Amino acid sequence: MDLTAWLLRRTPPCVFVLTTPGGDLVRFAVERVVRERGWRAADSPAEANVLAVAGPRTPDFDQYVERVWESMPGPRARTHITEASEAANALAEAAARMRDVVRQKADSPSPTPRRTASSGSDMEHSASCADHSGHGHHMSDMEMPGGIPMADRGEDRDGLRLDVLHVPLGPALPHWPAGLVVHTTVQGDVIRAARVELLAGDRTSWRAAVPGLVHRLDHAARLLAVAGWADAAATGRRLRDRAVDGATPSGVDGWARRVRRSRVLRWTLAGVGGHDGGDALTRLHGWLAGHDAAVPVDVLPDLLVGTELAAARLTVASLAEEVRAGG
Amino acid sequence: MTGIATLLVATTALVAALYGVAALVRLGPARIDVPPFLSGHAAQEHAVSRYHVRWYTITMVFLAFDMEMVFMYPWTLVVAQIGMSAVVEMFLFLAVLFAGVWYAWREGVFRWT
Amino acid sequence: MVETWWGGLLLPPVLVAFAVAGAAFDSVLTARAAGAPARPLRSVVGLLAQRRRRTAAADALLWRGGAIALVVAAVLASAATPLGHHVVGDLSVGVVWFNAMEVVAWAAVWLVGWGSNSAFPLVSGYRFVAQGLAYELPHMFALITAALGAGSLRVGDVVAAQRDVWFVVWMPVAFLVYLVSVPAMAFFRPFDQAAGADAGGGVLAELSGVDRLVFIAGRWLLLVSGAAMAVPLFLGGGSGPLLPGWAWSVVKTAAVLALLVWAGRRFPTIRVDRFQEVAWLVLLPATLVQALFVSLVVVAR
Repeated sequence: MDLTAWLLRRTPPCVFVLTTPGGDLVRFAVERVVRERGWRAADSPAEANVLAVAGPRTPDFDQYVERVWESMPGPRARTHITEASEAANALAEAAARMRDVVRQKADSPSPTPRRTASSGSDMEHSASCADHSGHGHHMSDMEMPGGIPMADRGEDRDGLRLDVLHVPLGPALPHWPAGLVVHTTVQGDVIRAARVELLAGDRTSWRAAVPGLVHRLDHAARLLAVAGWADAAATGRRLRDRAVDGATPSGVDGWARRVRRSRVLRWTLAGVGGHDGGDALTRLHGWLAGHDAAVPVDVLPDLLVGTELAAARLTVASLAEEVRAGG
Repeated sequence: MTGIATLLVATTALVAALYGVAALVRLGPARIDVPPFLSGHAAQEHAVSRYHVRWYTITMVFLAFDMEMVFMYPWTLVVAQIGMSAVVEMFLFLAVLFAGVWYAWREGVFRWT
Repeated sequence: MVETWWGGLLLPPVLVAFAVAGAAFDSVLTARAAGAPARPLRSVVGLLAQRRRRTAAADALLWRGGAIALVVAAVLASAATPLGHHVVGDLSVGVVWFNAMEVVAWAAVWLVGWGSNSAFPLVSGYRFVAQGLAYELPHMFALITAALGAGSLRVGDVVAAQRDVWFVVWMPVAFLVYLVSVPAMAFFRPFDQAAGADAGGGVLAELSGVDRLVFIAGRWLLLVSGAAMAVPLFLGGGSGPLLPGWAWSVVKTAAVLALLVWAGRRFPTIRVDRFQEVAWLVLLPATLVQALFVSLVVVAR
């Protein structure tokens, strides 16, 4: 008996969902299939065994798909779903490929070429940093393990010289707006600088196809997921999926009341991402009350600089930036 | 003591057995030199770095209390024999430490964001 | 207390059984929230078959060592915890032993975050150390309060001291703080920021295959060890009518574990930076007042 094949047939699919700009309706369908079949949504490529790219094909998106695919350990299967109606079949077919032991054994790991981890432009950038960071820098003649240079230093807000990391957020990040990239520079977990990039694609036209309730439920569920309240987020997404079908789901009021009443949630969100007299909490309450509150995406860098990673994630999740960004 | 030694050996053996079983049944060799998860971007530098630990002042306050624990564990054994004077001394000590916590709080040590 | 060397062989399977039951209960609750059929423990199967992976220039020794240390420390933490009248090691400093083993998690989780050479796990490893600074002192004062009530650091003596009235009755604050600190030390919901969904799974972000399985097992075992210690410290150990002592220990441990798993799902993640102030200015003084009250009772007796 081939034990590996036996285990593989029983391996539950764990799906990493990567939404292309404007692919949210497809993402809804994918998330619904994942939830209703008792599969899991992956937080990172390391735990995923199915990569689902959701939404229309857009230029320059393949590089992100390829990097996520490269870092999935295997068993693994990938699928690109462009229509919501195809989601169930495409995912079932991908899951079958993921469980096919012959195919998976043939998918042997090719060691990633050492230099692909860093593209040419990145290297130039690091080199230029090294030039003006002054004397005796370790970059020039030290060997670079894995083909990646060591972190460089920069001025901290307290006047200390500390290591700086570049941590881009999005697009291949769960619970993150589709097609948004925030290039952050962090020291520790504090964001020192942030630059917003909107990926090419028709980001907004899908919104007219569904009622406003769907958007609000999805935004609220995303914020709850980032806040770490998985059960409330799952309920919100179930309600959203019923609203996509055109029904006005019962249970919205009860769920909204439960979310509003949570003291810990208020404690977590109050004061996060303050803009124009509101914060993450008031924006969430606005969605629950039926207002389509939105903050333009251009204010994002100002909101993020000086915050730590957790607060930055909550801030972005509380924005509903698609509404006014306009692509 | 033999029980604890047995426990240590048994636990280590269990972990080793788990690794062994997995080595037999898993799909194949490990994937090495995988790029770190950065939302689909390439890494520009190693993540290991001099980290900005902004809450380091809390560790100082913590250390003061942690040393106090070294005294308090044995203190629990004798408090009933020595009586009231042991209670007074220990809680005066704790009161001094807590005054330190109060001061640290007023200085904003416990809020670092 | 009866001490037997083969207890050391029996304890790991008992703890694993509790961990498996806890994880199964948790996945049933997840399935119910999603409206899906429950298939508990299937993910274990998946992790056994999955390939391992190593991020570029990772410190593999620290990375794997951290996960293994977490499992070993979580099991050893229960060495002094009695099951009825049986205990693996009847240490004269059993309470301190538990405390020492459970603190190994600080190093273990941080090492797993650091060793992977990836930004999200790195940040999350430091989050856990900050969380440790918040929960650890109230936790230690809760432990000391129970030892103070018995006038002994031997867990068997603490149980014996509760023959007439359980410590939970006259040390309710210490018990509640202890219950809060157990999920905090196992970075379990709602204190799971170190494994947060906002950072790609936190310290777990780069783990796959058996490495991931070992780490997740260590986390569950730590939660079980913490829940099991609540029974001799506050809930009268194996005492109870009709059933034998070991059965009461099992029932009470299962109840505490189920409570922690169920209650944790009812809250969003508690952010470390927000929790810090509450821990130092509410929980810490509350446990100090509780300890003062208990020491006055002990002196008056």
